[in-house]
Amino acid sequence: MAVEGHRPSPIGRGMSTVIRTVVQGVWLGWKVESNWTNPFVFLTYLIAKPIAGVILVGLVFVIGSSASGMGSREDLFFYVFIGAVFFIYPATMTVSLAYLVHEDRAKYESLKHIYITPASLTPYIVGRGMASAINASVSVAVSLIIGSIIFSNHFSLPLSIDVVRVDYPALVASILLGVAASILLGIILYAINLITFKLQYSLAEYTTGVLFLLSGVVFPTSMLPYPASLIGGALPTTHFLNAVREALAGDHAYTSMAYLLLSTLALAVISLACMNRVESLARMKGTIDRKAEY
Amino acid sequence: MVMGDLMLNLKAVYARAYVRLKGLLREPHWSIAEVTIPLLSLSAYVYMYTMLGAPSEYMAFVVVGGAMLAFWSNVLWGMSAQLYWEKETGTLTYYLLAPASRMAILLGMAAGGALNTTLRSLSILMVGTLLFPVEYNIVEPVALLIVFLLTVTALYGMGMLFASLFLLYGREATHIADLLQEPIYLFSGIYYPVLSNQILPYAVRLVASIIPLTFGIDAIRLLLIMGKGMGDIMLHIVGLSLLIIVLIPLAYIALRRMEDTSKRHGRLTLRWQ
Repeated sequence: MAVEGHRPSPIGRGMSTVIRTVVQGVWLGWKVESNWTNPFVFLTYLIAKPIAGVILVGLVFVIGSSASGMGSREDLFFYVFIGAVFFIYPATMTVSLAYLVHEDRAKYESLKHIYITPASLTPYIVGRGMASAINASVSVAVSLIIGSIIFSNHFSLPLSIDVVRVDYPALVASILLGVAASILLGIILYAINLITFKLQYSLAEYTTGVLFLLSGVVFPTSMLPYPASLIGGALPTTHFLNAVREALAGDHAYTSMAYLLLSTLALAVISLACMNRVESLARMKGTIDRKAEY
Repeated sequence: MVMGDLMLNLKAVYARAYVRLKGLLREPHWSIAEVTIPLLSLSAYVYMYTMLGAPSEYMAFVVVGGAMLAFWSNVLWGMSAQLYWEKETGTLTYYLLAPASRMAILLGMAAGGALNTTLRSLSILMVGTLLFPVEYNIVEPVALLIVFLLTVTALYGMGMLFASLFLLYGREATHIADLLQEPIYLFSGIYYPVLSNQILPYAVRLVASIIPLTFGIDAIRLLLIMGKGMGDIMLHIVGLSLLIIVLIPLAYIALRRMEDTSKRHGRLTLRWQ
């Protein structure tokens, strides 16, 4: 028998629904992304792809610096290698969220069922983004360890990270902000896909391609021509990678973190406004349950 | 009778290739994306070589590699994963019911994809050449044409083999295709020379040489950028020819086996595996 005084307030009920939806999103995301095969193959998939990408960037560095006669430039290698490793976060998460509408609407035909639940779509997307962030964290950790062993042992390029000097609070805060920024970017891509069809693959690839070029992943944004350098300077991914590099080097990371926070807040305003506008538009256009790809 | 079969299969090749070419016009934004997206990553690597002060031919290596990347993407997504997509969209059954040979259908897919991708690859090469200070030094254009045709044939032979193998798969198909991207970029030397590179261990170069793209890109770079001739790429021609001789019959055998296995396991019409 319920007692009036023990019932949660409407705000409390709302929060509980949001948290439950995020948790369900994480659980569902984990299941969808991992249960297509056995754990061993899934782990190989989770590790092999990002490691190959990181080693490729490292080899371009080794071959390019050897061809130029530059010799061993450990500072530049640190910049390039850490950029490539931590770029796994935005790359994995934006691709995963960009495909989400297609998966739910056309492939599994579940979007309409998710939409009519009491929770809104946004916490669900956040949950799916967080599942992807967990997978990305495994890829980042393994790539960092294996990549540094390979380049240190075979190419005499040790990664100049002093575990005592690392600013761990700044590193953790930067990663959390970077993950938040990637989820917010993913919400924008989700919104675009909700009212369009057949764009999911190109949109995901465009986004990761633009981020890879403009975020200072493998070269500083100052090398880009104007106004590309200006756009690069406004992207949260640029400040995320700079903050992570500075935190790992034990340098002052708080200026980059402040820029990261500001650009993430701006992205939050844009993505939530975008999602609100698009949801009503999608209902008007009837795109929530319309199948076009199958 | 033999003539009739031949005509029927040629019609099937044409019909499947036609869909590929028609698709180029049906979804023009895909064609634009397939030229623009490789240019984004290609540009990042050109800037990286610039930052490192590498000689200008390295930028040309990246542009040529980026252009050839279009073929690998098409082989993976347009060939290897295609029969899986056909199964998901429900059209695989019609191919199997048709009186034409399965190999004719795969050949049509390959021919249409190769033609389609050649246009995209040339566009990437042209835009990349306009954007960056890239110089070419072609001494033997005929050798370049021969090596290009051999590369494309070997690549699509590999695509036909993968398409057969992927017939068995469900959701694994897209993940495996996805998994074959970065590692192949790494080994085939999309952004750097592999076969002539003494920095890379011998074992890596040996593994890389079973990928048609490695021989193809290396030979095309030698002929297009380094001013080499036929005599300098004989090893590449032999390697590519051997790959063709092995891959295409293997694709034929794999297709028969996989179709038979899929029928016995009831997987040909199964979705959402």
